Amino acid sequence: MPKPDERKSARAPLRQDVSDRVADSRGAGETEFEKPRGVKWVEIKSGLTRAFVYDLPEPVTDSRLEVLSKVRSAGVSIDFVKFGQGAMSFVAAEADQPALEAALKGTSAEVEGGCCVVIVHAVNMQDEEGLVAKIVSEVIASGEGVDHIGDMHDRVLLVASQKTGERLVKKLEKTFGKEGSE
Amino acid sequence: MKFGGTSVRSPEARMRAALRVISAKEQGFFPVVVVSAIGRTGEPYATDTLIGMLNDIDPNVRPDQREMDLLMACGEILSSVIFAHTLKTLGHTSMSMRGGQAGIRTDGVYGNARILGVNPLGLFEVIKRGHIPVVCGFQGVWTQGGLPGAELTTLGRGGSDTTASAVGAALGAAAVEIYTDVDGIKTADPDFVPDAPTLSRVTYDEVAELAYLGARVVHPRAAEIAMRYNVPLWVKNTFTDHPGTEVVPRESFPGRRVTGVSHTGKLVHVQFDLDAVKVAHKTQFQARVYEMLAKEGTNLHMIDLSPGSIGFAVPRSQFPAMEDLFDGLVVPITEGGSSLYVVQRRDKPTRAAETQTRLLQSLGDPVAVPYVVTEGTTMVSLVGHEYMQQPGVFQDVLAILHSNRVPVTQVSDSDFSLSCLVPESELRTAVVSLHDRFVKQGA
Repeated sequence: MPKPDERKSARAPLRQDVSDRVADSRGAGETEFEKPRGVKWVEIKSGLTRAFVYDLPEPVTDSRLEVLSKVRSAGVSIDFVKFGQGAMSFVAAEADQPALEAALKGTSAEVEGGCCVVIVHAVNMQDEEGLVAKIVSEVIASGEGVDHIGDMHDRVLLVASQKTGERLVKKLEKTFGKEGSE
Repeated sequence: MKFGGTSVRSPEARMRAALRVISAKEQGFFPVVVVSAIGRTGEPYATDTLIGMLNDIDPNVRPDQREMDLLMACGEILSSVIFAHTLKTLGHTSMSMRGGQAGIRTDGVYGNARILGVNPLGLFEVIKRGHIPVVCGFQGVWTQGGLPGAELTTLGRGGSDTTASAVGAALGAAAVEIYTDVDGIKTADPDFVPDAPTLSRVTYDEVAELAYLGARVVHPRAAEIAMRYNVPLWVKNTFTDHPGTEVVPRESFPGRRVTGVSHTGKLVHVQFDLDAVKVAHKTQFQARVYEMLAKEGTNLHMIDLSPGSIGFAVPRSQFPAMEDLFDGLVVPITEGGSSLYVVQRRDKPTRAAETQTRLLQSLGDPVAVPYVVTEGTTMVSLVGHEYMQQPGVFQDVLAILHSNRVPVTQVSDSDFSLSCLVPESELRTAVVSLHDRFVKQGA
């Protein structure tokens, strides 16, 4: 692969002799361009801790900010933040669990290790209308309890306990097919 | 070199675009042009205008997608012929080519086809004869249809960008340049932040996430192809000499940074209250709801799953269809004791839902499952590279919005982004305040 700077300066579309390229292309088959629709593969990432903070006093926004401030002061990075009624939950690295527990001391909170995130890869999900909903329906239908669902352009992220996550991966692979990691 | 609708909308614009092509040729390159349809929504030959010609015949009869594809493709055909002739008037022979003639083969999904392969032989022949190929974006052909001749298909959203990337990859081009009417990829919507800087470099993943979260940048499908085939991708302005934005692989541009602030269009937040659903039925009920949403092709954001409720946001444009689907919907569940659930909107149960409930009373005691609708919402997102993992980002984002009196209904996050559901009325404030804090002041 050329280095970025080389590529930047090598702005030379089709500089190569065209006759050669025509000859080349006659022998070459078509190349697959776009990845197949739907779910591509499923993986699991372990080593997470869940925190559930409840009974947050009014005004709830201020209470949430206070919780986030404590977590920040403890130097803990969090993901998968979710708001509930008078509550919030989030996920951190398992290595940060002691710091998290210390930060949330005195707050109505439950901190539980042994969690994971199951990642369902599906390129350009939003272009496949209904695909996210299909993945979620399959997750629910699997009967495995998932704590949180997130998404980005090419994947759905599911937070669950480690054992649940492992079962879920198997079930989703069975449903969507297993293509293995890239 | 791909030129979008605004770059080919007028003779003056086409002349500017054509001169860019000629300049590339004079520098010793073999340019291949991809064009979109002329103009944007509402203009005479824009794709939406063409669709309107069918829909206006009788709004109650939905046109076949195959027929729509044939009609929509006319916009790009027209554009390519006019562009090729513009080049000819400037002394450069050119040849317009439909997607199929350029070797673009797709699957058979009309209206949202995927490119299966590109055979660049025809393009090479045209170049060899000394012509500049002008390829119609957004279209390809499907050859397995069982119908005489190849079936024309369109590529769906961002189709012309995708054409450019695919053609560039098939030709082994050293660069794909996407020309538009802005200087490149901005750190925020210039309608909200007029002085939003243009990013000089950005990774494919960042572009894909920005686009996913509503920013009008290069389409992720185009970025995906360019990434896969290692084709340098540029976003440039047809009308200025700004160097533009280069889209590069992640490993070429490491480091922690905020990429920008994006926002989606109008969303409607929907929350089902499952308190009335038996514990033994909750999972089945939830699965049915999502199964129906999947069948309807509804796009979901901000999914919130808990034993007591189901929450998600849907695009405003898809909400009427979603409501038609759910209002008065009867969900019978027999496993774990038989129950009939009737879905109804909490604030205004409709006649349909009330009638269903009354009719079902002879079969048992139907249980109402209410859902709450919050209209006028939207999603604002902070997009960054290796940034969201820092402690305190959530607090900063929420604190900024709170201090600007922007209420946040729900949040979601991923490796590249942090999104907040906010009232549409507060969108400008949300975008500007986050941009000021994270982009202008520096992350």
